[in-house]
Amino acid sequence: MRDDPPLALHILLIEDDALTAATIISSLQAAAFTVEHVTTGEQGVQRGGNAAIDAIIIDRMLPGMGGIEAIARLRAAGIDKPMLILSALGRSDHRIEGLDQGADDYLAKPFEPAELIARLRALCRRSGQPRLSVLVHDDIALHIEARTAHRAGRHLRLSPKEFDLLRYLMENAGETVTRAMLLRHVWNLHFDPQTNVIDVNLVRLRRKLEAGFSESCLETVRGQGYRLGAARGPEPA
Amino acid sequence: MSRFRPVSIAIRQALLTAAVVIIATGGFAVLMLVVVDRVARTELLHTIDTDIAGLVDVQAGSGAAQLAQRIADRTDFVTSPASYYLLIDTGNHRLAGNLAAMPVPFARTSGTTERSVNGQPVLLRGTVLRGGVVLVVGRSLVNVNALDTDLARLFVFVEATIAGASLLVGLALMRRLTLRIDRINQAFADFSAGNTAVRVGPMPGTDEISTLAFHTDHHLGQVVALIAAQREISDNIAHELRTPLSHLDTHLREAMANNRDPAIEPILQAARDKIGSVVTLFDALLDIALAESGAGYAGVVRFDLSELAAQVVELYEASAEEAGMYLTARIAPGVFMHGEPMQVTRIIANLLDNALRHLPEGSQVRLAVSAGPVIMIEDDGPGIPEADRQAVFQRFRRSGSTSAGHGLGLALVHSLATRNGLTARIEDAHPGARFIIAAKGTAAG
Repeated sequence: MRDDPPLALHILLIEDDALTAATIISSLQAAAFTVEHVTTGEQGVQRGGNAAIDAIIIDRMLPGMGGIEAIARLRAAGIDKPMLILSALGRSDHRIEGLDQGADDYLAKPFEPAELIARLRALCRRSGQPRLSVLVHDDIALHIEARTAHRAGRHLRLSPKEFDLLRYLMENAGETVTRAMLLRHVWNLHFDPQTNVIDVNLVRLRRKLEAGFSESCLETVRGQGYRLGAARGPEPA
Repeated sequence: MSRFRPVSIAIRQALLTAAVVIIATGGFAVLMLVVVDRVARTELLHTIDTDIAGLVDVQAGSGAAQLAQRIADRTDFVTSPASYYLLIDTGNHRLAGNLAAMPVPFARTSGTTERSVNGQPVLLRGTVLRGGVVLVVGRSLVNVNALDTDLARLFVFVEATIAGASLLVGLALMRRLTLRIDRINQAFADFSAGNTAVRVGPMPGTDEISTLAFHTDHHLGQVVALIAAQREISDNIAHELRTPLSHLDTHLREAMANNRDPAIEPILQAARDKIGSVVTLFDALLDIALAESGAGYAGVVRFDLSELAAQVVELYEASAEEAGMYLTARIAPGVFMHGEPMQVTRIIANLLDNALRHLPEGSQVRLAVSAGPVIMIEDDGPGIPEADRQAVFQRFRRSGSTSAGHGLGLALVHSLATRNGLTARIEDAHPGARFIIAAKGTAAG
C-alpha cells in the first residue's frame, strides 16, 4: 500500500456559490485533481452518470433541486460514486440526515481545503479498494478477521478501538486523515467533542506503535490531522 | 408517552350501567314483592272472615254447642293443617278446635295476629261472640310465603340476567368507543416518539369522537407544518450566516497564503479561529432551540445504552488519564432505551467534557448506567453550589467558580435529555457533583 501514487481524481462539483466554487476548484487543481463544475442540481444529476467522474461534491442548498434530492436521484439512477455533501448547514442532525439520504460524507462550511481533499481521497480509496483480510503498511500488518496487529513481527497490544483507529489510518496510509474523519469513521460521532479526546487517543496509539522503534511513523499534520507515513525498522539493539 | 396505564373508562362505564340496572330492577322487584304479599294476605284474611261469618251464624241460629260441634266437624274433616280453629270460653278453656288454648290479644273485640303453629306461620283472626266465647280462625301462611319466595327467586334470576346483559352490552358499546379513543391516543404517542407522519384517519359517523379525530389530525398537521417552518427558518438563518463567514474565512486564508509579514499571521489566524468559534456557538444555540422544539432530525430507535456509554467512556479514558484524573465506569449490561443515539452520546460526551475541563488534577470521575435508564456521572471535585444547580442548565450560565467554554454545554445536555424523554439534575456527591440523567417517571427521574 505504501507505494500507491497520490490519487488524481476527476471531480464533479455542484455548487452555486461562485466564491466557494472558485476556492474548491483552485484547491483541487493544486492537488492534481480535475474538476467539472455545474451550478444546479438538475445539471448535476445530468452529469453525475459520466463514467470519468470519480466523486461528486454537492452543495446542500441549491436553487431549484436541492442537494439531498439530487443525491436521491443519482442513487435511484444506480450511480454509486462517492458523494460528499458540502453545506452551510453543519449541525450534527444535518450531517446524519445527509448521510441517511445516501451521501458518503458531509463537510460543513467554512472548511479547510486540505480537509476536503483528504476526505475525497479517503472516499475514493475506500470505494475502489477490495476487502482485504490482511492490511500491510511497511512493517505493520493488520489481520482483519483475527483483529491482531504486528509491527516488524512484534505483537501490538491494541484495544478494539485502537485497532479500528489503526485500520482506518492504514486504509488511508500516506494521506492526511483529519480529526473529523476519525470521529466519524472510527467513533461514529457526528459532533465535535469540546475537549481534545481524538488527539489524546492518537498519542496513545502512537506510543504503542512506536515503542522500541527509532522513528515516528504516525505524523501529526499541523492544523489538519494525522498521517500514517513511512514506517521504519526496529531500533538497533 | 405517559408511562401509566389508565383504568379503561369502558369497564367503569359498563359497571356503572350494570349497577344502575341492578338498583332500578331490584327496587321494582322489592315493590312488587310487597304488593303481592299484601294482596295474598288480604285475600287470606277475606277467606278467614267468610269462615268466621258462617260460624257466627251457626252460633246465632243453633247455639254455642252446635258451634262447637260444627268446628269439631270441620277439624275432623280438614286433614290438611291449612285451616285452624279454636273456640275458648271466658275462662280460656278450649271448647273446640285444632289449636291449643292460647291467650288471645283481643279479649273484648276482634283482632288479627300471626303465630307460629307447629313451626309454620299462621294468620289468625279472632272475634268475641255472644256469651263471651272467643272464636279464632286461622289459615296457614305457607303458601303465601312460598309465593313470595318463588317470586323473589324469579326476580333475582331476571335481575341477574338483565344486569349481566347490560354489563355485556355496555362493555361492547364502550369497547367500541375506547377503541376509537385508543386510535387517537396512539397517534399522539407515535407522534411524540418521532413519527410525525402518523394520523388518526377518518372515522365513521359524525359523533364527538369523529370530530375529535378530525381536530387531532388537523392539529398534528399544523404541528408538522410549524416544525418544518421552524427548521426551514433555522436552516435559512444558518445558511445566510455561514455563507458570508465562509467567504470571510476564504479571504483570510488567501491573505495568510499571500502574507509575507510574520507579525500579521497570528492576527489572521486569530480572526479565522474567531470565525470557527462563532460558527460553533451558533450551531450550539440552534441545536438547543431545535431540540427544545422537537424540530431536529428525528431518528428515534431502540438502542443499547450500555454499549453506547461504554464506547464513550473508552473514547474519554485516555483524556482523563492524560489530565491526571481517574475515570471509572459501572455500566449494567443490556440497558436499552428509545431515543436518538447520537443525541444521547452527546449528552454523555458533554458531561465528560465538562468534567475534564473543570475538575482539578487527581479528581475521580465515575460514570454509572443502570436500568430505568439512569445515567449518573459524579466526581469528587469542588461540586456545584446548590444555588447554581438549576442555573447551570440554562444558556450562557455557568457555575460561579468557572469561566471556561461558551456556557452552552450543559444547556444542550438539558435540552437533549428533555428531547429524549429524560430529565437532567445535579446532586451533591459529598464531595463533588453528581449529574443524574434519568427517564421521566422513574424514581431517579
